Amino acid sequence: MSASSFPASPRPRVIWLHKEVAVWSNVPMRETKRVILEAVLIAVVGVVVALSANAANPHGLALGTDYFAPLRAKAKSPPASAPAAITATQAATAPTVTAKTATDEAAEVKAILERLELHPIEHDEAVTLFRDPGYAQGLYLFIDARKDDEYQAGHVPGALQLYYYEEQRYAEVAVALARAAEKVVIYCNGGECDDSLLTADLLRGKYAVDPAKLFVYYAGYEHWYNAGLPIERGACDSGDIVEGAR
Amino acid sequence: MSALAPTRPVEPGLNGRLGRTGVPLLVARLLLGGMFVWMGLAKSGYPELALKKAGVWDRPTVKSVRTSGYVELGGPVDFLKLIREYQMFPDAAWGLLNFTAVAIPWIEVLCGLLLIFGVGVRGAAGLLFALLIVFTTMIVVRGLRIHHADAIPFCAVKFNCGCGAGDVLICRKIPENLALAALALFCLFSRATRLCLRKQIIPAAPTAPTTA
Repeated sequence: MSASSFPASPRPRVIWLHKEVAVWSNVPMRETKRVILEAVLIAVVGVVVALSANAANPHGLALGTDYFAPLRAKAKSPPASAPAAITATQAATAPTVTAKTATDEAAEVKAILERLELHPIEHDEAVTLFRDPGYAQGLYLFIDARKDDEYQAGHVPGALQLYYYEEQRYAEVAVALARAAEKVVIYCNGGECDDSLLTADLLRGKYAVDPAKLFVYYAGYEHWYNAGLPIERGACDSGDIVEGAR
Repeated sequence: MSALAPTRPVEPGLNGRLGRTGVPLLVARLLLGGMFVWMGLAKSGYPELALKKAGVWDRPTVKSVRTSGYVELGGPVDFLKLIREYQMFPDAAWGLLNFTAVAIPWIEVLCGLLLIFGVGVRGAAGLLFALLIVFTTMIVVRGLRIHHADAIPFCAVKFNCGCGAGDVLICRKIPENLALAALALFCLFSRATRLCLRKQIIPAAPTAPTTA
């Protein structure tokens, strides 16, 4: 009896099992090929399921969109002052737990902003703009570049949402107000988050918002919240305003 | 059974007496399959959609589970951002990055379901084993990169590996992955067919008897 196939009937199973398992290296190629073919078939079906699921998902990816092109394009020509070994992508994706100090991290983010030719805005300046009467009049605009859940859980009061990866959903209102405003402050979570950079680049490039008035609040929402500043929960102008944690 | 039927040889290892009952394979299938269904779905975005549609997303119990640190529900965009951090593709291959972010979760879910139901077990286990080897290698490489770049102990390196469980310590994740790979190998090598709906999707070629 050949040991090349799976047992088809109970009687020869014992012999085949014994031979195949006792010396695995002697398992004939035919069985290996069958398993590989099976794996390939499963992978193909998985891909078909995945593409269908992605198409049906309202938050699915646009497969033809190069989401991170702005970061890479700018990263190709780093200024002499920046360390050549660190690309924008690498720096922006720093690990969650590192030995870096907050100062190191801030310096890195600033270097990336400089490379991308975007203006950083410090925490104190952002707070000043927020407290300025011009904010209520629409002269200054805060844009939250985070996803729905994060925005709903809390955002800078009055900030509009513009999630880079689903920008069509939010762009109409946000772009109109950004064009009308004198200063636009864009933020995401802070730290390694680069959605604020991508959103600023989107506004500057695709929507032709004057780059001189775009400012990236790189300390981000977490810093805002931890500073005990007011946050708004739910939709924009929901009125559900509470203080952040100190 | 006929009196002429061959007696079962007492065989050590995974296909011994206990192995042939199919119970160890069933346990391995359920563990491995369950893990991958969970990890795949967590990255697919659909549990989030379903929970929101059911109006329970913000219920305290659901909220406590999803903020527990053991499960991290995310969508394709979140997974795309996470796998980008591995820098596994050249810049020009951004399409491949998008494709991977879409495909991997559902391949994991499909393999997990097939293992749970005992369909195409060896193919699914082989595919998961291959994926686990790739994932583990990528995690180690990224861990080493962070370890060298930031001068922190290797075992203190912690990051969101895109595994569906949020931030993990690398020295915990690697043994976990190796344990899953061992389960996948067990499923791949086990010959038991009991308690499987259809162990082979592609049937084995019939073989002619070679003994007289």
